[in-house]
Amino acid sequence: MTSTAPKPDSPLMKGPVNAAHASQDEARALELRYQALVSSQWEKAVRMAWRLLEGDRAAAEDVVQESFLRAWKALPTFRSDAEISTWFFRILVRQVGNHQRWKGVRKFWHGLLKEQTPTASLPQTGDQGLQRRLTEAMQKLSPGQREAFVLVHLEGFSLQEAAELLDRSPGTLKSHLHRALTTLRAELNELVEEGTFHDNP
Amino acid sequence: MTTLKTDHIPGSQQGFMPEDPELESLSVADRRMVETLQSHYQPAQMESWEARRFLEGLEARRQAHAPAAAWRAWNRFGWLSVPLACAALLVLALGWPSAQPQPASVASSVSPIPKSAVEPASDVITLGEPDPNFNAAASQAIADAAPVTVDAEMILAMSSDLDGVVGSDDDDDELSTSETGSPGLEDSTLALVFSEELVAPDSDNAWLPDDYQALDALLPEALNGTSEQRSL
Repeated sequence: MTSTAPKPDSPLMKGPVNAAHASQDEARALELRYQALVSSQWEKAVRMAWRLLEGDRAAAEDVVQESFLRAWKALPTFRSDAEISTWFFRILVRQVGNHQRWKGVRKFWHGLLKEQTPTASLPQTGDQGLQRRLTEAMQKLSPGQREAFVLVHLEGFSLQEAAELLDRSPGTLKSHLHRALTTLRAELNELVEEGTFHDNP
Repeated sequence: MTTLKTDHIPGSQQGFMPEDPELESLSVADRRMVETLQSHYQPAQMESWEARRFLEGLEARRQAHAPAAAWRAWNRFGWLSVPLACAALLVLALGWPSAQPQPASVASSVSPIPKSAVEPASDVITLGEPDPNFNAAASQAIADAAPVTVDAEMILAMSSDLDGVVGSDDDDDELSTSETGSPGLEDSTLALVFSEELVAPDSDNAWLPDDYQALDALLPEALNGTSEQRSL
């Protein structure tokens, strides 16, 4: 993904004019950080959005693109002393929440019209049965449990970082994590008994 | 258990195990379950060009929105058109154009005044009451004039110069040029009196009262002579 960064003389690198920054060099350095963020964190952002959105690949890509676009527009307001990735993932989590709220509205109207809601798209590679089982188990989690489990256990954020991203207290997050593990154990008990987890380290 | 730090990108390590004491208490089964989810619960392999395509699209979007930005900048002051229009209407209502020169189109549209309205209805011209100060001023000018010696030949020469110039064509005027061939007496006399050559005050030949008497004596003779010369 190192080849995705545009050339330094690209018009994109000139970026929006930021009156808050003292010099253009500082703004240019910030834009370079943004380019590096897009190039290095694109896959991670799509994967995290895919997990938070219960395996909807199209929705995940839309949310990621919208999040990067919002980050680009809000780049002048970014404080250069902060971590740009943390700032971006906060935007991404908010966009996921907005998408889920609208998804709930659409699901409500689809239920009234007795239409089928779009199903999650499973990966076309690997063990299809295992992936389906894992997806079904993750769909059993509540939104709060899923967010906490994905951010902490799957994406590797610390408890404090996840709490800041989700704008929740660490105690609430711990509670969600405990309940999520309990639910997953119950849902994936058969896999545990079959020894599947031992074969897939 | 190995604890991985995330220096720059939080949560960027695959297979990352939380370092929080509460989360370290995961059982071996839970840990294996989490590892399985990490490796299998994820989308298919993504293409590397997606991020590059996004950046290219962002650049194209920025170029496409450049005119829109200019439009927004102009529209930011678009509200000024309302007070400007009101001010323009107010100025027009106060009659600002009347203080300006009349346009050429308006001037050309005005019809000229008829000639009959300008010309007098008859040939009679009323001069009004004579100026009472005129005679006094004239007498004073004559008194101050330098004495000039006038003889008959001079009068005849001046009368011939004035022939056809002074006088009128009135039939009632018995001293008109048309009848006598010489200028009217009063007109020629006035012409002589008020001529700059005769009344020049600085001249050494300023007129004296005796000169006027001599002039009165010479005038009939000069006029008779002129008539005789015309008759010949």
